[in-house]
Order: sequence, then C-alpha cells, then structure tokens
Amino acid sequence: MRDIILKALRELDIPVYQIEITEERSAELFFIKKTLDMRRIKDATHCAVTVYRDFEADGVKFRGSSQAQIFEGMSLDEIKARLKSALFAAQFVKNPYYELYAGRKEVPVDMPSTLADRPLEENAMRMAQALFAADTDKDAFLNSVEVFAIQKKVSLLSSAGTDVAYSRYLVKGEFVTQCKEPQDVEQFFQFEYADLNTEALTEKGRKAIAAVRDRAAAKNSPQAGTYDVVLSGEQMETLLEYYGERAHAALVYAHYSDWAPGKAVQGEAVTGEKLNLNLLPMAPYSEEGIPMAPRSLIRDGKLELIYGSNRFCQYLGIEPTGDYRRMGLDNGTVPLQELQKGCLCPVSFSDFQMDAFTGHFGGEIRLAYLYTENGVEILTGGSINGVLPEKQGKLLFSTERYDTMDYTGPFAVKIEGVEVAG
Amino acid sequence: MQVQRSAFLQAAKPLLQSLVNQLSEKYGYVSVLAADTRSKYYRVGNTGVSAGEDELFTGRGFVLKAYDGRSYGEYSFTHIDEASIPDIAREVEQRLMPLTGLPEGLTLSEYGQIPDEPAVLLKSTEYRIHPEEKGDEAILAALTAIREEGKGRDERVLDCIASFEYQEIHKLFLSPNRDLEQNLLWSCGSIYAMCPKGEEIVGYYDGASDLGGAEVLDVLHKKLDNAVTCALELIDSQPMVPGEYECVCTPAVTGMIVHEAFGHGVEMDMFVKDRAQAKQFIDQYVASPLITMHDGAAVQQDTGSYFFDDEGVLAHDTVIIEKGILKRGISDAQSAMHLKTEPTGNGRRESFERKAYTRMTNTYFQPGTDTFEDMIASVKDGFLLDNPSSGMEDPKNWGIQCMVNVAREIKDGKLTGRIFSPIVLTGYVPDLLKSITMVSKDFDLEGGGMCGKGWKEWVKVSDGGPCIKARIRLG
Repeated sequence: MRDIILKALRELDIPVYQIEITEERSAELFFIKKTLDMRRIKDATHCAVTVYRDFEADGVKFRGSSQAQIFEGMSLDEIKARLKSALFAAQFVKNPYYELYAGRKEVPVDMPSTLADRPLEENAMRMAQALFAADTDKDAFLNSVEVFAIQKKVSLLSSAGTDVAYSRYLVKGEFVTQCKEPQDVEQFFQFEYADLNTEALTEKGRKAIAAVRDRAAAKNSPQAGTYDVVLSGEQMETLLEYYGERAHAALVYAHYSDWAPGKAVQGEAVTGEKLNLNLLPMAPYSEEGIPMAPRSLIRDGKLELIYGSNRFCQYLGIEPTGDYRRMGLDNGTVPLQELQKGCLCPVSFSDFQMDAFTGHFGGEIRLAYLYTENGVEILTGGSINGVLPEKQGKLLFSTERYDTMDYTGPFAVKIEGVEVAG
Repeated sequence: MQVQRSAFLQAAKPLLQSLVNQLSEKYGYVSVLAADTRSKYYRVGNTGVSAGEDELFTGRGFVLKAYDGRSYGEYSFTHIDEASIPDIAREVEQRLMPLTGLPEGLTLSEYGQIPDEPAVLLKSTEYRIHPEEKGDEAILAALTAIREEGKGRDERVLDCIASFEYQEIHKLFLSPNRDLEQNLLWSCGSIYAMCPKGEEIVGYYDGASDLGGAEVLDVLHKKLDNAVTCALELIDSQPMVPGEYECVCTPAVTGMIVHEAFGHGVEMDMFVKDRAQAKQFIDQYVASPLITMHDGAAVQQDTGSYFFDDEGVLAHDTVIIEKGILKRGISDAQSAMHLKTEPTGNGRRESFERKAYTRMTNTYFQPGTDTFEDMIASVKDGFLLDNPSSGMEDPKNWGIQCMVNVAREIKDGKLTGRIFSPIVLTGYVPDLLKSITMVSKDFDLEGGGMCGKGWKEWVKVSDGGPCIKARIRLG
C-alpha cells in the first residue's frame, strides 16, 4: 500500500503528509460457560493518511490538515480521489502553523514477546486454557469468556523524514464470573498482556471467582454518609487519569487546564503522600513517529512535564513527547491491611468514572468491604461520589503493587471523607 | 434524495458470490457481509479545527460466516480479487474451521443450520442535503458560527465546542438464498458549552441527530441557547444530598434509563449466557402499566435505523414492554437459534472486523397523556433530571448506574432555580419503572452517542421517549 499511496501523493503534488499503516491479524475465541460458542480469525489492513495544506490569512500563516482512510484494493484513482478530498477539506482547517515532527529512518522494531513463538490460534487457546484453569468450583464459575490473540504491525512514514515501523503481540479479553448462591450475581473483568502470561491470567481468574462469591454473600448497601475510602486495582488507573489528562498539552493549550511545570498539582498543604507519577511507553513510537521513553510527570506533588502530540507541544513551545496511556506511580508507604482499617473498600463498580475536567470521581458499588473494629462487612449497592482536588492532599498508598498494561504502582489508595449514597 | 449505491460493493459482488458458491460446496451454510462505509467528522473548539474521515466509522471489508454441521466460524478480511479467492477459501478451510487444541474440559457449542430463507432487497434511505454537497467549507463555517455565538454569549464561557459527523453506510449481505443491499446516511451534531467553576470546568452537552443529512445543523443551532444557559447555571451548582426523591426525567434522561437500565437487560445473547434477570420476567409486570417500550431499526428514523442487520435478518419493530408487562427481548440470529426463538434483526457488529452481538437500535418508551407542566406541579419535594452524561448496564442484577449532569430542584410544584450536579442514579430497575406515575405527551429521540457492549463494540443507537415521573435514588 505504501508505494501506491506515495505515488498518489506525488501525482497530486501533496508535499506534506503523514502515513500510518496498520496490519492486524487476530484469532478470537468466544466461550459461554465451558463451551466454545464462536471462533473468528481476522486479516485486516488499515491505512490513515493525513495531508497538510499551508495558507495565509491576514498575514498569518496557517497549516490545515485532514485525514483520509485508504483501503486495500483501492485503485490509484480511488486513492487520489480520497486524498484530493482530504486536501480540499484541509484548506478550511484554520489552525496556527506548526512543523511536522522531524523523524528519520530507523530499523524496524519487533517488540519482544513470548507470544511470537506460536501461531495466534494457539496463543488464544493457551490463554483460554489458563483462564479456565481457575474455573474449578460449582458455586462460582466463569460465565463467559472472550479471548483475542493479536499481532499488529505498524508503519509510520512522513514527509518530514519519519520512516519507522514496529510489530507487537498482544493477548487481551474479558470475562464474566457468576455465583448463584445465596444470590445470583456476576462481575465483569478485563485482561491484557504483551506476553503469554498464563500464570497471571489463572491468578486473575481465581481472584475474580473469589470476588464474585463474596458479592453473592453481600446483602446490604453501605449506610449513606461520609467514609474514608480505599480504592484499588483498576480504579487506580482510572483515578490517575485526572493527572494524565490535566497535564496534556491539548488541554493546556485550550485553557481547559492551567497546569504548568512547577505547579503543586496536589495543592500546597499535602499531609498525605506526595505524588511521584511517571508516563510509560507502550510502543517504541507515538502515532506521529516520536520515539517514546519513560518520563517523569509529577515529582513530590509538583508537575514536571506537559506532554502530548506534536502540534499542541509546538504551540506551547515545549518538546513534543507523543501521547502516553500507561502510568507508573512510585508511591506506597502503608501496608494494605493497615490502609483498610476503618475504611470502606469498594473493589468493584459497575462503571467507575473520573471526570478530569471537574475532578469528580464515582460510580455504583458492586462489591465493597467495610473494615470496622467488629470485623469485615461485605456490601453491595450504593454509590460513591468525590472530588479529587478536594481530597488529594491526604492520599495514602499501599506498599503492595499492581501491574497492568496501563498502570504499574501501588495496588490501593486511601481517600478521606468521600460521600457515599446508600 | 436517496443514498446512492456503492460502486465498490457492486464490483465486489460477483467475487463474493463466487466465494460463497465455492465454500457452499463444503459447508452447510456460508454467508458474507460486505461493508463500504465512510464517515467524516468536523469539530471546532479551543483546541482548533479538525476535519477528516473517522477511523471507527470508515472502512471497507468483509466478514464470512461458515457452518461445518456443528458450529460457526467467521473470517474478517479486507481484500478480495479474482486471484485471492482461493487464498480466502484456504484460510477458511485450514485456519478457521478445523478446531484444534481445544483444552480438556472445554467443549464445542453445537448449533443447527441457519435457515437461509430466500430474500432479495435493495433499499436506500433519504436525505435533504448530503453533507458532501453542503461541503467542508459550509459545514465548518456553520460550526464556527455556532461556537463563536456560544462563546460570545457570556465572558464566563470558556469554550463552546461544536461538532458534526455523518456516516454513509453501504452493506451487502449474500448467502446462497439471500441477496440484500442497503444504503444509509445518518448525521449528528453536538454542542458542548464549558465554563470554569473554580478549579473545575463544568459543561453542558446537547445534540441533534437524524437518519438524514446536513439538515441536522439547523436543528443543532436551535439548541445553542439552552446549552450555554445551562452551562452557566452549572457554575452555581451544588453537590447532591443523597436520598430517594420524586423525579421528573426529561426525554434524554428517559432515554438513558430505557437504554442503559432496561434495554441492555433484554438483549437475548444475555439470556443465552444466563446473564439477564429479564429472562425470568417474561409475561410479568416489570414497569408501571403506563409504560410501553419499543426497539427497532425499522420503527424510527434515527441513527439506529437500517433495513437489515449484520446477519442478514430484516429489521423489526419489537414491542418489549406492553403496558408494563415484559413481552419479549431482542436478539441476534445465533442467540435466537440457541433459544429457539425468532431473531428480531438486532445482530449488529461494530464493523465487519467484529463479532455480531445482540444490540439495541432505536429504543424508547411510548408517549403518554400528561403534560410536562402538570408533572412538575405534582412534585412536592424532588428534582427535574436533565442532561444524561453516562450509564452502565447491569442486566444480571438490574442495578442502575446512570449519571446525569443537572438536577433542578422542585419544591411544592415549582422549580426553585437551584441546581445540583453531578448526580448518580442508583437502585433496582423494576422498582424505578414500577414507580412511574406520569408519562408526558412529549417525544424525543437522541442518537448522537454510541453504545458499547461492556467496554467495547461501539455502534450508533438512538434512545428517548417522553418525560416520566418516578421515584429515584440519587447520590
């Protein structure tokens, strides 16, 4: 595809462009209980071409852009028509001028993975086998499972010299656990690994089945009121999105965020742990071909970096870093057991949300543990609703760690004084 | 004007027929869904201007379904020509259908053969102004005008993001006995007015959608005033005091309750998995007798409309709740086979690259006889809930998690002007639906958003209905 697209760009005399070609192959398994309900395979190639058009208005230079999707089997004329249409649209996209990220030709990177050793179909089966290895009991079990084994090859090319490529393997999926007694309940889980991490998936399955068993035993909602709350696991990732989004160049440029390096983003009066948050790469290059490396975002509660895509970083006069999804938190001073004392600990929500614009976080509780002097009460129902900027000065993190594709850091955080609706 | 047919699909059709015929010699059932979709988005806001083809909604490719006498497999691919047909057939025969390595203790779910009833269909939807005819310049000018007008209303307006998107969909479904083709166009636009509130940024979203073209932009402009006014009001909003209240829901909030709280629970692939409580409530009261609920791609003209689904089943109008009694669910073809019911035309894929699941289309409560004014007047101490922001399904337990942006206080039958935000709705779905005591004459569908299955599989849907009055737990 690369050659025909370049030919079309040349014939249309489009000097500034960026191309992203993604080839994706997958093997997919869909189980209901312990039966395979559907199997799928996929071979798909996508190509997104962004074309740029420079123009002036009132003596000011602008650079407009527009993206076209190009597909396998398109003729040269079809591709030219799509690119021409995009170029036409670009003249009305009146954005201040900026330069494309100036990359260079690099040797393609094959991200190492134990998944590369076997066919995708076998990877999918092995991960299914690993998950179902946890499904050994009759009272609580796997209700349904979806497994996707994926191989992706990404090529990035631009008129500013970028010519890089990488390939990666991935296994991901989701599963639902169910427990029928004393009440029939379920819980939803997701997984994603860059290796054939069968042991981790079996362990995740075991914990998930134990959790749904607890939920089945839970009868009561928490009493409405104000609680010290411990959030953990996936909620850690969601909560930290507040910092990731507020520090993004697009939000700063648009004045949606007033954050700047040096700002005490946790507030001035921090009596809890001061945040030490890092951005971690998931691929060797960003979508614009910017090499990705670990970066420190917040150190001792103070912002160190505004990050983001090339255009917004240039507008702000800072180094373009590319967009990051994975975060690493270096905090953690209190053992989990200590952290949980006297706290409401929701471990599962129907949909835990963080609104980076307002700082509000919350969701409906599917399973929570209330640790009191009298023991542990298992609860379900009700909801929590808090405002992170109001609570962030007193955060405490667990010494226990938690690792996913999107996050590495403390397993849990204690937040004081969160409103709970029973 | 009618949406034109896809030249790409016309050219691919004989190749696909050849592929289906070839594989039909070996497999009991073979079908192909071919898609050629193009979506373009336009957005104007503080981050600048953007326009281009939407990656999620633009695609060209195929999904082949084969039945080997016991089970079904699917192959998604993006390229076909005369020379590649043997390669595609080989992938199906050697990589997809032979099932190897199924771990011990796991078995294969066995199905009967899909009844391939003969059908031929060629249909297109209509529009007044095709977005391509309107043109990039005019669309961006209209959005820029909306944004500037919104920002100019009050210096406290930080941004007023205006956006527009359309998708032209061409689909072809071929099996030995079925030859279906549809050509659709939907358009939608949105306004998001934002204001700073101390360290926070509060905002109000409003949108317009239609099974049509750029005419939606005119409707969008009419919503600007309300969006900006509400965003400004949110600056003085207060946190909700948790409790159970009498609430009047606007059609948009009704739509969220219909869709998230109840609709997902009647998706019958969830019945197959024993994941939906609704399965046990067929022919029982699950709502107030004032409530009748529909879902159907054939019943309204909005973003959830089509003529046949992604499994080649013709679109329906399914009455799910009739006067408070749950009558039936909605289903994809494979779930219907499992449950020995008739499919309802709700087998939808995010794209040709994804599996079909049971999905909603246009989902709503029928209007009633009350007036909005009477409903507000009837509330002694409660809220008018407006502007849904998100929702999550819980078909197993019928737990509600919906979030709304605005709760307007009502005291002694009058709106006091006090606003609370954000609001989490919780509770048990049938409790809420049975508590409905008033249903308004109004009716509005909103199709600007997308619906996921869990946290993936995004498809366009619309939902809505009238205003309803119910008791709801707010937090």
